[in-house]
Amino acid sequence: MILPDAPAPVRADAPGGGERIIEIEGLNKWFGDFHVLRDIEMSVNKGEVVVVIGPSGSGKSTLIRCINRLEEHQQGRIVVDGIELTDDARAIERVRRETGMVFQSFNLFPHLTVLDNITLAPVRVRKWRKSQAEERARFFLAKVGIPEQEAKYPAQLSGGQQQRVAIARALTMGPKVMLMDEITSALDPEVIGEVLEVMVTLAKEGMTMIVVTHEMGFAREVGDRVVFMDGGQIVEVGTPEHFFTAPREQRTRSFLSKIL
Amino acid sequence: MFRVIPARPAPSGETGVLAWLRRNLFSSAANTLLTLATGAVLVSALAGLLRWALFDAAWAQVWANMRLLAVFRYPTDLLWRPLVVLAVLLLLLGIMAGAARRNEILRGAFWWVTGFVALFALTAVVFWPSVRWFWLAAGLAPFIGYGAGVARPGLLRAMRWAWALWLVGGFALLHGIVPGSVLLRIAPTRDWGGFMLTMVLFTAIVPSFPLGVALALGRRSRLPAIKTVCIAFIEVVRGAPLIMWLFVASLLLPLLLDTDPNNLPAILRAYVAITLFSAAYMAENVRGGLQAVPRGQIEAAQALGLSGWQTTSLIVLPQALRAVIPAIVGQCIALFKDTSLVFVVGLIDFYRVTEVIATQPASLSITGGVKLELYLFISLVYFFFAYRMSVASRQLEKRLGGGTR
Amino acid sequence: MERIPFWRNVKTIGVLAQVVFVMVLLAGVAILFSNVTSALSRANLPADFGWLGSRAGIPIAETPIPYTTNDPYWRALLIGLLNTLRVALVGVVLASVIGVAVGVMRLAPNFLIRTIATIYVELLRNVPLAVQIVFWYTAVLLPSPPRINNPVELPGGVLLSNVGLAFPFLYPGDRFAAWWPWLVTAVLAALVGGIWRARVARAAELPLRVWPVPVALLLGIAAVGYAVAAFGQPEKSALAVDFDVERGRGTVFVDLDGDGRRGAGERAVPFASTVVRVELAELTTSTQNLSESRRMVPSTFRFPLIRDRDVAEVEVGFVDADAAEQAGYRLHFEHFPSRGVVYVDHDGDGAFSRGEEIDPVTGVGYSGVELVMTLRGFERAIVADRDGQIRTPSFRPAGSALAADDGGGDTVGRGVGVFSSFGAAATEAEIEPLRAEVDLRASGPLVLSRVHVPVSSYEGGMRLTVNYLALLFALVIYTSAFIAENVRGGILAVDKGQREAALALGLSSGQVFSLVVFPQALRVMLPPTISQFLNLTKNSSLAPLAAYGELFVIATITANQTGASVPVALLLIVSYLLISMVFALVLNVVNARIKLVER
Repeated sequence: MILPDAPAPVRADAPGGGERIIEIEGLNKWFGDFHVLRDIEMSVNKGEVVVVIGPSGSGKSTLIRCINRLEEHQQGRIVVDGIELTDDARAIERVRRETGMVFQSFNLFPHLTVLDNITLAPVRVRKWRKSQAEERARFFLAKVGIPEQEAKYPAQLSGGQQQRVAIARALTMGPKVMLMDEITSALDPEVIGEVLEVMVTLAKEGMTMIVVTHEMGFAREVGDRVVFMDGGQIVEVGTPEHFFTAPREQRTRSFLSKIL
Repeated sequence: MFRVIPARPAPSGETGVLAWLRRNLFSSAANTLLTLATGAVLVSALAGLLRWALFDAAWAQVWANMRLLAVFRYPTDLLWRPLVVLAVLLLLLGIMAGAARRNEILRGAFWWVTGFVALFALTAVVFWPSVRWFWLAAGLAPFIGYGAGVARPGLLRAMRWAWALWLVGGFALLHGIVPGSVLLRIAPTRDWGGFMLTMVLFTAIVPSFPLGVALALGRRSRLPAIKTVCIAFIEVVRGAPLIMWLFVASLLLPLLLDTDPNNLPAILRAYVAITLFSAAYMAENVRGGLQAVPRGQIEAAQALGLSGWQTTSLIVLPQALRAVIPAIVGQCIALFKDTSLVFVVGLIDFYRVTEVIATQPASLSITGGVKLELYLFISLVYFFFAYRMSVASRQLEKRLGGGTR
Repeated sequence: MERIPFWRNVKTIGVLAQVVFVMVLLAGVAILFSNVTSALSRANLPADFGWLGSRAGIPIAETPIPYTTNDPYWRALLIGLLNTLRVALVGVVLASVIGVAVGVMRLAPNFLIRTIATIYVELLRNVPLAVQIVFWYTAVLLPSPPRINNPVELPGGVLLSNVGLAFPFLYPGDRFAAWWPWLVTAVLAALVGGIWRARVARAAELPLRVWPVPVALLLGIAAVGYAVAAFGQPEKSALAVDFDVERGRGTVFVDLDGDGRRGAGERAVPFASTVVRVELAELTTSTQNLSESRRMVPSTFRFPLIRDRDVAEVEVGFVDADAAEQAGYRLHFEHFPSRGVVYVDHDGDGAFSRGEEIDPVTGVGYSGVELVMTLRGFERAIVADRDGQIRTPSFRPAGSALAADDGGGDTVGRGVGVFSSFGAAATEAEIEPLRAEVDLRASGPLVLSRVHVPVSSYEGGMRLTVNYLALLFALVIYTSAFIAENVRGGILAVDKGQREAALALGLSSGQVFSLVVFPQALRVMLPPTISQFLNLTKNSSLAPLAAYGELFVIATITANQTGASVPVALLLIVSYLLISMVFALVLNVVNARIKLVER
């Protein structure tokens, strides 16, 4: 819905040749009268790691929350793994099954043990047998580095451990895409490393990831592309190297100077 | 190349009335169906109720017995007394609301009460010639008070004494002072009743407040004897229902004071029972507030050299009481409703008057009786006051929550 | 070191203050005590509990355990306590169910549902419970439902009338004794199984489900036991029924001497299954102008409730057919054959139309028209009640109404019974004597007792009086409004992120609520809800408003009758304190458990 004389939006297209897993076209979203996402054009290939950065209130969290329909968009198309997100409840459920999400505030279920937190969705949504789900859960718990804590309750774990359980919880569903919304922001500095380590391992194994973060070190190590957002729109797109060496826009430069 | 995309208005149907309707009533097929079904049921129920209320209900018996509902058998020639008490109450309320008119909660409650009284004042001026002028005065009092409060905000400082005077003087006036005289003769308490009695009993919350504070402080005392006695009193009283205490008080008070039951009017016995009962609950509310005062406050006060009493009365209590105002208003609501239990000691309060009216010959001649209408009427009045108090309580909670955080 | 004077010593001040306080308190108590004793002795009122054993003479409508007015006060008070618990326990369950539903509705996305729930909560919380009880009792349940002899029949054999609600119920039958050990075994096995399962779960450090094992054990053993008891050797005992068809009453008893009549020392047997057959009989009634449910129902006749399955053939006619034909009376049934109106076909269309039941001359209905119902092959399965009693309608011999009418008496109603039982007056030979037989049937460990209305009370099944219902309704609805607010607060207290995380995992919105949001909300809302349960129990003391005989009501009557106000007051206080302590205990256990899981 872009008028001819309107400024053309910056496109964050995935490189050609890959298999597209997420396609976002002309995405617009309002909170009441507030225009929070403006003409987002973006796509992601299978196996890509896209890092989204930007000042707070820039709409980056809203963007990835639109991808699994935690937020409803009003204009444009979002296609995830060939399924377009509409009001169709079945489409929404299928997309949510195929995307895993990790939150800033962990959002582990405090009334369930670690193991129950992880196996809840596989058993209820994927209809796996409990034993099968538990086996997978233990596999991923070992993978995120906390194999001995499965009978504990979330409140008994440290923040870093909780966040790693949250990652294991998302992974056990076998998602095709992982959405990570500032997952290290609420952690104490000394435990950020252990979570980042898990993220890097995941990225290196070829998981498709969209990561909202300010950890530029992570972006540099495994990010395929960085998307800078401000004021609800995409301002600049490029490789991590591009952002570290020669950011084009003034806004990008001033933002990076604050966080680096 | 990046250029700022200007904000655009949301597409139509995303904001405004239509969007609200869609979100709240027709967001999906199932929701639409639900809306239509409940809407239909609601409309037909409301229409039925309205038709009944306007055409079938026997409201005449409610209307004809307004005096019984208001004051029961209080002598007709002395009706000016409760009206004077009411007028002074409204005057004082008016002064408070006028002087502290930036306090929205107080102001809102005041205009609500004023509106309610004005309704009756208007009715009285038109239909009830015998009490016309006193009702008019009662109807005007709040406005005069409000004006005075706006003009002289300093009056607020005298309010504490004015309220105390009103409470004592009000009781004296209602009861009568000089036996045998025309104006100030005694109005026997067995004739008291109706809404007036409900309000009289409701004032038991006032003496229960200092008692409750004392009990709460006693419960937190370091002295085991005082602490034990206070805990025992609070828990025993709270353990049994008010209706039982009313019954027990009406049996035991004459025995405890070793006096003839006739020397202790039922109102007095009920008043004592309600006060003590309310004090136990008040103590628990206040205790909640005391616990909410941070330990550091007490330590700071002690470090400044304040004595134990000074620490409690100047530092701890003001903070504790402020925090529990919503809970105390909640208790007021409970007590207001619970005054309806005094039927058990034979008092005819606002609720119990319905039984008297329903057994009148005129009421019995109406098919099916008039109880439904009577109950609806008194329910409405109870609801009117209790709901307004709960609104005020919620406002207070919000403001206190916002103010302390 | 300088000695501190005692009036400045903090420790001494404390002790001194307490000593003074205790002395003042003791002095006050002593004065009050001497006042009470002197007042009691002067008024000659009992101050001990000796009266507990004397005859109470208090009529109580609802008695969970056997009771007569000859029983002593302690038993009457015990029944009061049981009645309190009966209304409180049922009330707590119903109030929770409604409260949770309304609380969830308060947060519904649909505006209308939300609004209705809000109105429900605000309206009910802000009107005194006393008003709500009398509203349900005197304004709804007493006047609105139809009279007892023609109750509303709801699905499942449930009957509703101005006497109350009655529904089919299971009672221990003949072979309950054989099943009983199995039940005990089942409960014990379930306990053992539950503990074992919990042990296993703890040993394996796995959050296993504990409950399926004990539940399976309980149900399994109970079911096997039921089958064994039902098909096992029937117990040999000489039961007999002493049945008087004209009074419509009988007793099932152990016939020791084998004479078929219940003699002294022959024990009545509860809950025996019987079938009563009457070959040919009649019932009489006459029309009345009644006011019911706030309206007049003129020319109405009502027979005892007779259903199709009760009879082979039934017919209703006028006692004085000639006079009826002269007057042009016709019958219109609202519910064949038990209820209808007498009318005159003014408009000549051969059918009843509205207004024809009113006499145009007098302006009121045709009252006092005598009707007779003739029944052939009456057969009804009746389960005896707790006292071994069975009841049927008070049948008359066929033809006796007509005979009585011919006899010139205008008192048809009870007159007939007098005639035939004296066996004197029958002028015609048409009167056939009543022939009734009662068969006893074997029943399993449990027997299903259905409700029937022989004359003007429910018999069989489980019966709830309007008094009970009114109190229960009011308590449930009032308390549910408070519980709804707790539920709403609990749900709102659950962090928004929990919902989002669950949605992001692909759970459906129903699963999100039941698996993630509600379990967490439960911890927030449980403690205040338990104190609402206590409130409901204490509020049941408003029972005098619905004339329901619970603890407080019985205690007030006792105090008035015996004058033992001090002992009764003590009993009441102790009872309510005990109840409160039980709830406090439950609350502590719940709080401890919640803490345990949260850690």
